[in-house]
Amino acid sequence: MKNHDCCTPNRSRRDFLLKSASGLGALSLLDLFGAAHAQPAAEAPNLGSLGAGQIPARAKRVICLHMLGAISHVDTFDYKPTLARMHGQDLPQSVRETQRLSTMSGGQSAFPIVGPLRPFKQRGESGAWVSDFLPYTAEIADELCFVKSLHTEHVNHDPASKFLHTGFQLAGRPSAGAWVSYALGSDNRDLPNFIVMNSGVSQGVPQDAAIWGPGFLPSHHQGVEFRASDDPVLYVNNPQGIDRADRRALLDSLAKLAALQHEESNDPDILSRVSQYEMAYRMQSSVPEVADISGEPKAVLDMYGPDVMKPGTFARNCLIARRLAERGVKYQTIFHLGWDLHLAIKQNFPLRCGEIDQPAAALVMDLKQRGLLDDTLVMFGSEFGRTPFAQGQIDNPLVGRDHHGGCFTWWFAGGGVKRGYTHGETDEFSYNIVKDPVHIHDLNATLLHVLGLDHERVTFRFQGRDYRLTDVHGKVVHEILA
Amino acid sequence: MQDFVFFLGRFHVLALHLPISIVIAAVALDFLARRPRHAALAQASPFLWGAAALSAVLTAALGYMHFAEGGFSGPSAEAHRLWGSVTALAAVAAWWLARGGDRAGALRLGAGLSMLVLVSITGHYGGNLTHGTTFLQEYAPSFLRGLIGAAPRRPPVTSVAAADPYLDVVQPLLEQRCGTCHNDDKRNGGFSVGSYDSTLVGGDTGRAFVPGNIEASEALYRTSLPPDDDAFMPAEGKTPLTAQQVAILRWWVAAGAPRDTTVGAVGAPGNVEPLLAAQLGLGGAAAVTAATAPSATADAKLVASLTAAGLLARQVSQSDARLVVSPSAPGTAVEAATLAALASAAAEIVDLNLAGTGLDDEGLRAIGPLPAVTHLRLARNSLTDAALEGLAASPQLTHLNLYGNAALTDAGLDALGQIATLRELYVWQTGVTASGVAQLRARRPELVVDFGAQATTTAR
Repeated sequence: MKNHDCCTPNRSRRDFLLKSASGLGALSLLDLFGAAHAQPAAEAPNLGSLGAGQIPARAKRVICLHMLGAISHVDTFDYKPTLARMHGQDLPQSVRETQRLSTMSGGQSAFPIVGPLRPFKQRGESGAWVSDFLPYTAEIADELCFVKSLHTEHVNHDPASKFLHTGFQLAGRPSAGAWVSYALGSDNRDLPNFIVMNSGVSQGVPQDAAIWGPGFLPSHHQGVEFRASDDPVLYVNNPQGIDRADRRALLDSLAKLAALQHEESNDPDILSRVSQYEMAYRMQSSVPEVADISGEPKAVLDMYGPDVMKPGTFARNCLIARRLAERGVKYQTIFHLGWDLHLAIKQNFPLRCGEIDQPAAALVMDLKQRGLLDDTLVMFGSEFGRTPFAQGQIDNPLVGRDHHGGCFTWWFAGGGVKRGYTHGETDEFSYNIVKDPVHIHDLNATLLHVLGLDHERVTFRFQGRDYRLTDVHGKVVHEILA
Repeated sequence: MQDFVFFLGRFHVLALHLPISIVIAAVALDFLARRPRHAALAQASPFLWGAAALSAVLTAALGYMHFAEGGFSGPSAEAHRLWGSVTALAAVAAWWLARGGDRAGALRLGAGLSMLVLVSITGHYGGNLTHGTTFLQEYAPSFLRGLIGAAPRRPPVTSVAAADPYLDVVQPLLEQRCGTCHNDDKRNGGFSVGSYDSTLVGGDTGRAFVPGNIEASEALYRTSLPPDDDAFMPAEGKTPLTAQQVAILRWWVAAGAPRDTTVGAVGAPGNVEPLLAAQLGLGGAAAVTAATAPSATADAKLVASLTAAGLLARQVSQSDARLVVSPSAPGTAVEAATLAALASAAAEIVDLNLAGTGLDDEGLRAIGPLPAVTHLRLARNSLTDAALEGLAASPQLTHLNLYGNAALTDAGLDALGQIATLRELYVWQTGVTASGVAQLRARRPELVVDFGAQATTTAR
């Protein structure tokens, strides 16, 4: 929350001087008002700050499936027979070199290789390797584009997750979804542009709203979190004794007061708040409609698996994500927690995979049969990968794998990316990248590119400099685009 | 106080026009007054010369104030100051002569003509300061250039490969965009593009062009900043370099700032060559326009009419004004007004999404032909086979989504197979049968017919 008397944050000092000097300051203020609340959002479409993409878009929306805590790439997609062959032997020092390890395994005297926990097979016509842990994903391998050469600098969840979603390791930068909302606006005036859902149990992995925060962008671009319940947004319903007309009258009066306050302070947060009140008003009908899956045929529910009947599961969230995509929501991030298996990976990894495999594959195929995969980009992965070597003793049944940022795998589907394609390659230990590295900044640059945005030209001036999602980095990975 | 002096000094460039025009007027008047018919004009002569003297002294004084700002050095600046001072003094003398009795004498005329020469010389040097010393030479015929000792005009370039990267490309470009403030006489910021050496050396804030190092080249940095940045060049709202011109300079720096050679010998990549051709006036303009697609804006009235009808209309991109249209609240039913708005905008729509809007055959017919549409999303409506005949009028249709239109049958599917441009067809949850889909797939193997996930995936 900003001090309303401290500044005029929505215009630069120079702008302000120029506008006051030419006597237009007052007029533009009036404009701002006219746009903001004379029965506003119902009429004016929200096309975002750019009005239109800078390049032709390949997709209109994104669904990001983030396995928070870091899914093991060596047990899912990055098949390395060497690891099975050398199970129990130390990862050669020449491979590990002097790379930073987390403090959790950094003190180990030995780094014994743990082979893939289950066998891999080549799948579909593309012949992509997918572990037996993911039979449903395996079945749709020909729809997917694997990038096996993602890498990040970070070795811990919190900075790595913020880096993945906001392009920076500390809190305070806008999340990719907020950037997209800011740049491109909305395709459905009744729902937020950026929605976040969570499932699973964190097991101590930190996760906070800064990952889907608006940073310095106007605050209404922040991701709206849907709760794990049949009633995804708290208090969106009218309390007893208040009907919709009362609510409308209240909002109208409130908007008038806000207008007065804004005239005094010129604080853009006031406009953000008013627009959010209006959004909440419209969400009173749109959210229950989205959350109500009673109209879904059994065959569709069966695709997502039995968990879909339980609110707050990954399966239910995937179904809701499809329903939101259908309704034009631009950006969704769905977290599934519980992947941070430093301990007892053999026991827990099958459970986690069971929770996400069928729903993720179903989401892709359900979008596809509705013709939505064509303009929706689905992406699946983690903030980093996991080590091919053991954390703890190799013969301990509760052995785990530690964090590994040097290489990890994401898959993409739809949205103008290649089908049945694999990009990038790691060494025989799945520890280092040997071909076509893709940095997190490159991932974000590509993501924006797919949506019709030039990551170098989507900027916001804050504290005297132009910020962007990819800072001064990022290269679009054209190789994966169809 | 100093600032106020500088402030006044800037009026020099306004005031200087007074002595020039008044001197011309006074000399002309003196000549005219020699003829008996206009003898009466002679009475005005002292007044005019007085005005000339006054304005000349004032202009010179303002000139000294302007000079005090700094940034003026070199022969033209010195000469301008010297000749300006002389002109002011001479104007006072001319006024003194004009007050004397001999109003039409030879001495007076001589003094008048001398004044003309003086203001011309002063004005010329002043002009060199603001426009650069080569301002007059630039389009001068070669024989004139020879007379004034300027380098002969470069022979016209006939091919990109034969052009000199510095003399034909970079030097004229810099002269045009930077030369007015950064020349050998008016070295704003200590920088001049007057010669190859001074161009590379740069000014007070660093080396302007570092051969082979784009990052270290101050001029490339400054010209690439956002226009509202304090350090952006050209300053003060002067015409900025185009993106193409910056690209040319980057190429030149990356190539090591070559001179006395040819573009052919240096080598220009495919994306730079059309830019060079355009810069050299060799007709690369068309290629450049295509490469840097200009911005385009959709017809505002059309967009407003779609908006008023409850639709969201987006441009394909900032450089493509064709429209992507969907309901602004997806899933709301279409009304007659919506259909009418769509009909009037039909020619501009490339992507139309009317999924789940209750659209029926009559509604689709009301929209009429969609000649530009490539993506047509009509899922979850109540369309029948009959409605699909109109799609033949969409010669660019590649993506057609009809899933959830229960009344659609194999007959309609067969008709859709006739649309040669079609690449993706969605018919899940329709009356279409598996055998109908199989037949279509056999007939059109390149057409992806999606018949639902259950139908396409094998049993696990």
